[in-house]
Amino acid sequence: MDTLLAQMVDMGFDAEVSRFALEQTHCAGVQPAIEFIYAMNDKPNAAGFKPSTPQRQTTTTIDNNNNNNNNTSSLGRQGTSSLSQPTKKIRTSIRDSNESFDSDEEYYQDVDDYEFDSPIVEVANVTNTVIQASEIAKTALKEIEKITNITDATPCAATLMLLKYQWNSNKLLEQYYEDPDRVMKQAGVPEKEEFTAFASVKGEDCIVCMDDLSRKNGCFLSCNHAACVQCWTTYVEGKISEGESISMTCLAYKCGTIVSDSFIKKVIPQYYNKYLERLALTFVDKNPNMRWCPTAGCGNALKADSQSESIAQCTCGFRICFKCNQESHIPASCDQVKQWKKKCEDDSETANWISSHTQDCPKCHSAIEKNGGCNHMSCKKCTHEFCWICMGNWKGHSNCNAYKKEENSNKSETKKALERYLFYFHRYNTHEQSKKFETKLRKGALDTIMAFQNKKDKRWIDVKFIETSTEVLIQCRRTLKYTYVFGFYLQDGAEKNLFEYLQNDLERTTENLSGMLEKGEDQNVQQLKEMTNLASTKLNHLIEGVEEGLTAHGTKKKF
Amino acid sequence: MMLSKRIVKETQRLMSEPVPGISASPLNDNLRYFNVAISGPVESPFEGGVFHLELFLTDDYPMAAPKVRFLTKIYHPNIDKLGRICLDILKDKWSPALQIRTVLLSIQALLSAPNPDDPLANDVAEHWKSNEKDAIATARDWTKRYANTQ
Repeated sequence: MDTLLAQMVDMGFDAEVSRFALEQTHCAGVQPAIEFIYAMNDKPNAAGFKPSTPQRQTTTTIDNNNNNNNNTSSLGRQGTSSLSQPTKKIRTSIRDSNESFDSDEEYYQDVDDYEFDSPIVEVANVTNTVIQASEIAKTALKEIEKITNITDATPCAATLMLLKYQWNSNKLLEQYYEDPDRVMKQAGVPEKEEFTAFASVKGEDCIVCMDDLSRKNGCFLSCNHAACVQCWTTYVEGKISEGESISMTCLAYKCGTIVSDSFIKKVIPQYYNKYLERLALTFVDKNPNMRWCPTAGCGNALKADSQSESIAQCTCGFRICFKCNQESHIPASCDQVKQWKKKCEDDSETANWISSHTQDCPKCHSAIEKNGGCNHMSCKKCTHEFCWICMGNWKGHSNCNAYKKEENSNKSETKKALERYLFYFHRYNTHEQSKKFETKLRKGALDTIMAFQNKKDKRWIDVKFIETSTEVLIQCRRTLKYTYVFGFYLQDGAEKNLFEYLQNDLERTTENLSGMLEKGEDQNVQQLKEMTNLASTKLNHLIEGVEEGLTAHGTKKKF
Repeated sequence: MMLSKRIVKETQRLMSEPVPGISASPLNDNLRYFNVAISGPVESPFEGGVFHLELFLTDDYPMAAPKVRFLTKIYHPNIDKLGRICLDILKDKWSPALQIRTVLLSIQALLSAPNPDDPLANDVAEHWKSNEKDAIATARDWTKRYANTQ
């Protein structure tokens, strides 16, 4: 035990934590103990021992500044337990920048003093619950069970009522206690849930296949529409594959009798599980607080913990806007994005032609295809370094994000409008492309970490933040992408100038971070860490700036 | 696929007790394909005409509705120029307890009561709503021109 403990302490783990982990994993080795620590970190209370875990903060609502007042002062060094990645949010807003920006300085000073313990600044975190695809059915059934336990309604009735109340069990129970009969009636709960299965019905034929029902093969609900087992099976199978579950009615024409879950369990047990799966889908589909993760093949469900929440993040990394079901589009509003996408569709022919995937090197004019996310390009042929976005020389290049109006007024208005649109579209598209490349980095983050460890002889703990860096980078890209939508619809003026300043600031930092991450293990760990923090801070500035109104006259934006 | 007992029974009954104003008989070489003729209901703009339709029972029948289509040109807001019919029981309101007989009766009823508020042929429906008298006259004219057996 002592040797293992010594090894772990040597690797940078806290002695107390290591001892606990080793005990819990019966001293099976260093690896299981480390895994245990990480697992524990994800589920703080699981083992009754609480290692320091990142505090999650909501930054998506507008009026939460008050909660963060104490953060600036506590930004300093965290405890030596390397497990902690303290989540700190530097309070920033444009108006009181002087007051809170000393935190920036404070932070850098901090880095000098304690080289390996600088905290990672986290950006706009979201506090939603993610229900894994495999857990959805269980979660739905738990909800149903909760209602059946409290109200002693049948599972079928409970489900119908939950559906009626969009799976809001509190509201349902409230109303149920006031007037159970009314609630049951409104939800379409059948008065009698009785059914007859495997009966011989003398002198009657199955209403579907016209076989006679004298061989213990007749089944019917309380409405007495008798059909044979075979026909019921085919019918239910078809309805389930069409996506129906609890709303399924008797197979007779215009008969509204609900096919209860107990009937299916008894008559068609082989489809009962499928039936429950379908039911679970309505748990997400019909629940206003839940959304499916739109990533292909993901299948997880996202649940907002409160009504005011507008953004949710899936464990696969996708961020969704709860209001419009699209990718999270801060700082642009839902309407702006909708308008923008429509515009992009309308103008796509021209836009595609103009912003096709290759561009010519501004110096030697060889065609260049971009194969990474970083927009700092260097031509393979002539080694000219330029910015992919504005095609200007990278050296001394500072702001390429502001659209410059051309003085030459010979051009027609429409042409100018098209050019303006293409300017924004080009940038929007470039960031989208970059984001795609950088999403691939997410998968490679672990490899990079390993490479760092081997090459630089660093502790795992010291380089684990690279995962966070990648996430920060992707968030920066996503936000930058939508800043061009926001910018496109922003009126000229002081607000726009300030916005473009922040945008430019973020853009440069993002490019730097992207370049560093793409270089992989050749990077200086400390520089990368600093750049990550810088990027998060800039991103926070921009988002908060827009949220709070960029200038005193600027209107508050709601997402 | 073997012909189900149900289709056999339905066919026998259609032949032995035909519905007034409707005839339906399967092809000799494809017992799932029916030639159908519906006479225009009295006091409708289709009175005096005989309308030919085709009806096909898919493999899913009776779990899925039969496919029915007008072969005779008809001026009707719920029937388009390809002869496709907008009728709820042929779509989401289908029940396996419905039969060929009930489907054809419903189509006959649709001829008596056009529903321009749920149109398939938009131009016809517009005509029907803006000037019902004129639309009915056109329907009568079409009946004479295309559905006349004489």
